[in-house]
Amino acid sequence: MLEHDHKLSEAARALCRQFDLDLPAYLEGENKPTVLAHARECSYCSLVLADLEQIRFVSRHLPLEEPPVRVWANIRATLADEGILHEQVPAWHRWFNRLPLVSESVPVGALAGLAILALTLLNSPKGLESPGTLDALSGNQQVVTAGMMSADFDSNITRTLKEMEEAYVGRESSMEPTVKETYRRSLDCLDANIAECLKHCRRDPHDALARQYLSRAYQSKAEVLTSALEFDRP
Amino acid sequence: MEEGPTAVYNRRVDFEIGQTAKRLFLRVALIAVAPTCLLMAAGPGRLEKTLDTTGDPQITLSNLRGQVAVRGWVKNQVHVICVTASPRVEVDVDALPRTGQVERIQLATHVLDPLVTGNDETADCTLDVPVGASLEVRNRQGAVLVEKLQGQHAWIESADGRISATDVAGHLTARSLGGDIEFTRPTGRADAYTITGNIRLLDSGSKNLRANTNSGKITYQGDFIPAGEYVLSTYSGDIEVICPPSASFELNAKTVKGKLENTFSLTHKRHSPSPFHSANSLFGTYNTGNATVELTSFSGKIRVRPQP
Repeated sequence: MLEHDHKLSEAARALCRQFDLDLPAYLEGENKPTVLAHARECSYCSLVLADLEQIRFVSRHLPLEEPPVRVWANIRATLADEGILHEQVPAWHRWFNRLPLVSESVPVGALAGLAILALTLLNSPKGLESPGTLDALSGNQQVVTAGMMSADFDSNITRTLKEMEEAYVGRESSMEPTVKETYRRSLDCLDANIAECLKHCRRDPHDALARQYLSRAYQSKAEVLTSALEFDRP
Repeated sequence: MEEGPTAVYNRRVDFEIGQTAKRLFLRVALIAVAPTCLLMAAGPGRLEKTLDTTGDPQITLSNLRGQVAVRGWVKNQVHVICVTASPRVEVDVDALPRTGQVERIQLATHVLDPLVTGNDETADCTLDVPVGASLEVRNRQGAVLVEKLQGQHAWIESADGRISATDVAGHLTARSLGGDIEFTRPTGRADAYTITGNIRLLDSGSKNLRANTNSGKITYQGDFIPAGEYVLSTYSGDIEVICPPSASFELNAKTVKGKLENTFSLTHKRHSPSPFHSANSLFGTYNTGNATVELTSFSGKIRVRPQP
């Protein structure tokens, strides 16, 4: 009798194992009648199937969550490293192709602004000769105001950075004091870098390396703010 | 005037009712408060789990606060030990697929009680993983130590914790705001990025190494790999490169307003411009110039010297 029970349970286990093997294909839409047949006989597998069906049903109605930008950057870098990806399309085309991947309007705006800023800083030193423009580009919150923006630069840059800072300040109060302190120290450091770069560029607008540093400081600031806005996201 | 027996009886009854009410109140209070007290008095939580995996699983760990250590081992298993400071902090382990060898593991700590803050959020995690594992660690506060990994990539991020990676062969990326970063013997592509932390790069075997810090210092100690590309950059921090006298590299050092100090005797490479040295820049070749070394700072001092 015991031997019979044991054989039965072994047979049942084999059916469960087959159910497990067939399940992914069934859920993908393949015709697997054994899955349903087994689920009708085995209460455990029936529950598993019901759970998965429920998850599938609910997940269909969930909004699509985009992975962080760094995931795409990593994939791209890996593909490029392996020689699978060859950059052939123009940079502006790639940029616009990537835009739909990013769900946050503030970081997108900031990156777009920073791209314009980087190009402007690297290619047209004359644009930095106007003191008003330099002041407008300063990272200090008190200084960055749309009204001070020179016509040479699109106000999107300052607006998006300002929006990011405002969003960050709004979130800062809910941050853990030590985390807040770390972010604040980093932002203060970058603001000081930006101010020093701007001062230097005003004196020597043809210094390409200084312009690179200025561009990088803005980029870093946008990245730190993006990270701060993403960090405590539930 | 003396009280009558009725008054004494009534007073006695009142007293008994009062005592009963008090006892009842105490019991109710005890029942209501006890679970909370027990929960608060409970010691640290501990999770220990072993999972059979493929040789190259993808492991993701998201932690709020605490120390994280990940070490590669030869087994196709992941062994996790997480100790939480409070029982109101939970570590979730999600493994896929549910049956057979696990390909993806996601570990995440989260607080069960929104009132839990500060040190109570702490979860110290130690992971032994297959050497071929790929890793993504986000540790908001606290140090991260990674050792002996050969997987495709290891991504480590911390707001202010120290990041230390030793003998990592895949694409290694470390990002921090205020924490120091130390790479020892990386052999794959390596990127270190911090705002105020220091960066130490020791005995690198990487052919593609990039490091950037704003106010921290960068120290590179070791030889360069032929055809390797090394890009080190700071804003106000110093850069110090210490390599053996047998090293072979082409140096391109630039600073906006910092100082340059080089004790190697640079020459010009054939078909290339002659070595150039000004107050702010230094170009030249040492030995056959197999590797490319690019050093830049805004106001930090750049120093290149041979190992004693």
